[in-house]
Order: sequence, then structure tokens, then C-alpha cells
Amino acid sequence: MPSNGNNLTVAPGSRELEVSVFGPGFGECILLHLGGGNWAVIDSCLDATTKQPAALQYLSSLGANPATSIQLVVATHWHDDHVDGISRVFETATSAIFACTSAVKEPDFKEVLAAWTGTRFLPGGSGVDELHSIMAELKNRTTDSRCIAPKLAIAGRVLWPISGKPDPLEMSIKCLSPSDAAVLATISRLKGVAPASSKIRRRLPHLLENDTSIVLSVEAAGHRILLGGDLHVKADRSLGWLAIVDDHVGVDARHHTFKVPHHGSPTGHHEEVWDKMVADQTCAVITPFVGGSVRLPSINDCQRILSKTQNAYLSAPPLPGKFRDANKAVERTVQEATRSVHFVPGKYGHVRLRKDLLEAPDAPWRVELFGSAVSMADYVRTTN
Amino acid sequence: MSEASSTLNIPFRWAAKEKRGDEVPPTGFFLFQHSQEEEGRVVLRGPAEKRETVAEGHAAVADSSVTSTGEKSSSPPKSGRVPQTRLLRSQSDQRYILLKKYEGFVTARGEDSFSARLFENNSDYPVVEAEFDLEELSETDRELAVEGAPLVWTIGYAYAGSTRKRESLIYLRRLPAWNDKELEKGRSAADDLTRAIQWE
Repeated sequence: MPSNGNNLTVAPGSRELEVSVFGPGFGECILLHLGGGNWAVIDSCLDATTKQPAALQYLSSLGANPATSIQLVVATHWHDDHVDGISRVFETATSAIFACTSAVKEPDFKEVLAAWTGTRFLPGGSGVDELHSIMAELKNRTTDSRCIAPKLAIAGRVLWPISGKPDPLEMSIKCLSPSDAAVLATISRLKGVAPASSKIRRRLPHLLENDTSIVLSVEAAGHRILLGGDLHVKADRSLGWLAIVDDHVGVDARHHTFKVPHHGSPTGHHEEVWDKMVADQTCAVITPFVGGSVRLPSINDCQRILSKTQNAYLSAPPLPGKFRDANKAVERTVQEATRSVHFVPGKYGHVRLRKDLLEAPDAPWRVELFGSAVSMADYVRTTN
Repeated sequence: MSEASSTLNIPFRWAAKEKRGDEVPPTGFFLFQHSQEEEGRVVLRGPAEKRETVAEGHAAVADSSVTSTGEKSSSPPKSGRVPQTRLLRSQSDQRYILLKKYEGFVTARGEDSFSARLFENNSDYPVVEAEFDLEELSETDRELAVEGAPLVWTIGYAYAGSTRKRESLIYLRRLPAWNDKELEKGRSAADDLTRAIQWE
């Protein structure tokens, strides 16, 4: 049974596994305890109240020093809802290695980066702000001879352990995605994103599609965790989840924990993933998405996930913040002029899973829910 | 209260009853019924303090007579009752009071609607996200409403004489197109940024 969190500030034991998932409705961040007080941060989102990156805020509450305790920062893909504040995390985490898709070293990616100077003044930033800041930080570290080159993620590559870094849990973090074909598709797509002379100036669109998202498989002493990013299912089996499933053939290694991809949407769901890669009644964690008229996961999505496991948790319900303005005339006008209006992100929550390394891999996690986090079964029951 | 009188000299127009009976009085004028249309001036006489305390939309005449600046003149009403004339504005009011200004960008475009993220300040968090009917945009702006297009939304009170209306104005910003010189500068900056990075 999950407990409503009341001991947020208690740090995990040195040999205790922890997966913490934050997701306020627009954004997602995962913290993974590497053992001995060391952490990996996968993606980033902000706490809507404090405007602080979730990872830094949580580590501070545990009494950890992010500068020395964060060893790895991973950007699964460059969508706004996954990289909000990631440059602040990386700038603070001065000991950390940065990992992202290998497409960033392509010349076309540099063309996109070149657009930053001409779009950074736009409200809401340019869309490549976080990437630009990460590159600037990497450059600074090179100057100080502290730089270790960024890790370029591609299917099959091991991001952890890293030589010279502490690894008390003897953990491995392996990329299952993007596939070679996905990287090539990305490179060709970048040509259409880069600005060209006489083209209309706009905020840059999403740099990379969800089919290039990094998916990670974490393993320590037989405990396996599948972090699904935002990866989609594509008809082409060389892309997306089906490429991973095909690579997984013959591997008898089911995951006991699953960060469900793409906020539980049907576009990230495939039966073969649940049947071949995930254990029965796996512990599933889902972060919500609220944007435009899209609310993920829907009740149907929740019911589909619950048919696979009753052990599923939402970091927050997929509800936006109610729009209000101190000036009632403004509030009325906004309501009248729009089909829908709300604040994003909405509610902020945190699902924390802990387990001792010595426990059996199929032993249940100790699940703690903080903030607006909720059991998916309870959410469906109350919504219906 | 001082007994010294003062005057307000305000233009007016005579309005023919059959032509203008249903019309709203034009801004900045007093409208009187008369057999033919003429222009002249209304002189309001009253205590000096009256003029200072005149508030928009309030009856302001306690002791008035009406004269035209031409040869014709009008006598005060014979009933003995002084008509309560409303002083609207002595001059046309073109004020605009801005209540809110959002800037943002289009996040998605649908068949008959679009969504946008909106900021009062760049550091706003959380941000406003709204879905609009495309009809809220002018015909020329509709084709510009694509993902990434910057937009502005102002909400305010616009005055037109004595009336005040609440306005919502949404438009797409037309930024200068990219040019070669600027792109070259951007490429140079990107080169400078990435040159030192030791890719594996």
C-alpha cells in the first residue's frame, strides 16, 4: 500500500534503490539513486510554486549537495515539457556528465543552434534556450579542463557506470533508444527546422520528435527499471518501441518498474512491450500532460494501464490550474475570448519508490506519494 | 459655496426630430430637439465650484440658459423647470486603459482553432495556456497562426466620448524575416559555442 508521504527529507540508505518521479502536468523529472548518495537526473521540470527545478529542490530537502551528488544528467529529448530547467540542474551539478541524443553533434543541429541569437528575445524563449545554455556550460567546463565530453545516447550504449565515478550498487544504465534509424530520421528532419534566409521568423518548433526519445534500462542486482521517456510506437519496426522489442528478443529480463512512456497515451503503448519486457503487476508510474485541449492520461488510458497492473501511480492528476486574475474584468474577458484557458502546469506531485538492494527483484517497492501524487486506481474511482 | 457664476462654452448641434429621433447623441455635443438642424454653443452658467466638481455622466446644470452664437437664441423652458442636461464630455475622449498585455506564441493550430502559451513577463511560471477560435483573428492573421508564431493579446478599456467599452485585441506579430547576415552571425556564435566541446 502506498503511504502519503510525510518523511520527504529522509535520504535513502547507501545501498537503497530509489526512483523518484516528479510531474506537474507540464514537465517530467526522474531521480535515480546510484547508491552512496549519488544521483542521476533524467529530464527536468519546475515546481510551479517555487519555480525551482524539481531535482535540485528535492536533493536540497534531503540535505544533499547537488554539485557533488549528481553524477549524470540525461535529456531524453528536447521537448519543452522535458527540459524545463535542465540547464540550471547541469550548471549546478558541476560533477555531472551530460547525456543526450547523438544528433546534437550533427552540422544541421548547429544550424538550429544558430537560430538562438535571432529568437531568444521572443516571449517564452526560443525553444533552444536550454540547449544553448547546456552547450555554454559544456564549453565553460572545457576551458577549466573539467570537461568530460557529453555522452551521446544511442541504442545499446551504456551510460553508467562511468570510469572514475563511484558505483556502490554496481548499477548499469543502458540506452535502448534511439535506434540508428531514428537518429538518421532526426538528422533529415533538422533540415526543415533550421532557419533560412527570407524565411518568416518564429519560435523554433520542437527540435526532435518523440520517436527519438531516449529510453533507459536500469539494472542493479537483478532489479530492473524501464524508463520509457516519450517514445512512440511507429509502424516502421526500425523506429520507436518496436525497434526496442525486436532488440529484446531472446533476452529474459523483464522490468519490475516501468515509467510509462508519453504520459500514458495510446501513442506510446504497445502490447508487446507489456508482454515481453515488463513483469506482471509491474510498478508503473505515469506523469500527466496538460496542453491545449490534450489531457494525458485519459480515463481510457488509465483503465488500459490498470488492466496491465493495479500497481500504477500518477505523479499528479492531469488537471490544469484554474485561470484566475486579480482584475475581474480581465478574468471575464479572458473567459469570453477563449474556448478554454488555464494555467500550466497544474498540480505538482512526486511518486517515490524505495527498495533495499538485498530484497528480491520482484519484492514490492515502498511507494510514497507526495503533493498531488495519487494511485491510478483511486484517481479513476474518484473521477468516475 | 461661492455665488460667483462661471460659464462653460460647449458646442452643440440642433437635431431635426424626424431625422434623429432614434439616434444616440453624438459624443461631445448636447442634443436638443428643434425643427431644423443648426449648430451653436451652449453656455452653462453656475457656481464656479460646480465646474470643478463636474463628474462624467452626472447632471451638472443647476442654473442654465442656452444661447446660440448666431443670431437666433433660445429661451429657458417656460415651465419653470430647469432641464437636467447631462454633461458628457466637453471634448472627445480617446483614452485607452490597458488592463492586461500578454505576449506569447502559438503552440498548435487546428482546423478552426489555435492554442497559445501566454506570458505577462518572461519569467512567468506557471503560464497561461488558451485555446481560441480562429475567428478571433483577422482574416489576414489567420494564415499566420502556425506553431511558433508570436502573438500579442491586449485587454483594456477604450473610451469613445462618454462610453467605455472593454476590448480584447489579438494579433500576430510580424517579425522581420531572417537574413543572410544575421544567419551568418548566428552560425559563427554556434561555431564558437560548440568548437571547444570534445565530442566522443
